[in-house]
Amino acid sequence: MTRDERRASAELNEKSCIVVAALADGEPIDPAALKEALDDPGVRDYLVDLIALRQSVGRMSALPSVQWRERRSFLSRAGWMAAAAAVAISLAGGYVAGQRTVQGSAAPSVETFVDFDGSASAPKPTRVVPLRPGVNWTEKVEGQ
Amino acid sequence: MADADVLFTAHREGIFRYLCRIVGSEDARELTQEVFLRVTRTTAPQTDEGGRRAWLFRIARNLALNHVRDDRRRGETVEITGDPALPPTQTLALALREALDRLSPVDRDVFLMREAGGLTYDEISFACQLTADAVRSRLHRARQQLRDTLRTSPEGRSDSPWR
Repeated sequence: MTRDERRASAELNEKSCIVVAALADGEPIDPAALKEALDDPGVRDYLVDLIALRQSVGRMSALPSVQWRERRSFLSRAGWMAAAAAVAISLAGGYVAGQRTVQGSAAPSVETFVDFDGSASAPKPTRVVPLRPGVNWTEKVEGQ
Repeated sequence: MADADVLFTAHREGIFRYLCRIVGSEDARELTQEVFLRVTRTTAPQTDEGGRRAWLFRIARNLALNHVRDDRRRGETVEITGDPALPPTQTLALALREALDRLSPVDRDVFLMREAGGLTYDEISFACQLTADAVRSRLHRARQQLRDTLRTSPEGRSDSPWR
């Protein structure tokens, strides 16, 4: 078979396939063209495969694309898990850092006692400066 | 509003099925609601039932495209891997989803509008803004590509539900 003959055969085959496909699809067809097309065993095989393909597509509706969804939901779950992990890590990190800070520089334990028993009195004055009218009491005395 | 109610009752399942294959069932629920929310904000075209359905799917398609684009911007890529522990039907569904992902966006939309939404070629033509011939051609290409992928994948071997 020459190249031209093969091309013509392939073309005829495609035309025949389109005719039987139109039959399967409920489209208007030329009965003579259909008869001619169905004479070809290859075209009959094509028709059978077309019906099988249709049934397979029909089964797809009963079977949602599980893995596609799982992959998507995994991405969604991964996002939430990453966010939760980030929060948990920051909380744990904060706790540990706080613990180390407390241990490294512990506050000194200073005890302060305040005596309120009233027995203590103010110390005695070492020098008494009497107030005299007309005398500048802020005037400095030598040596003081 | 009554228009929106009628459209919602008649087409919510088709819209949801179509969106489900593109964005997954969870987002498809939200997008389906969004489709009909937009319908309440505007006036449905005064045309036949097919024209209205095509109009709804055009809205759904635009929303799905925006959603996928936004997901890519956020870096949420869809990665599907075969799991040997899955039952054969689910493995095949995953293989089919992978094969759908390998289609060009327009081919995939055309295919899903036909197979999941149940639109006619003319309706797909309106929803995707293509000629009817382009719809036929893209539909054939998508089916051929999916058929080849499933045949060569482990799920497409003779002992699988595909054959």
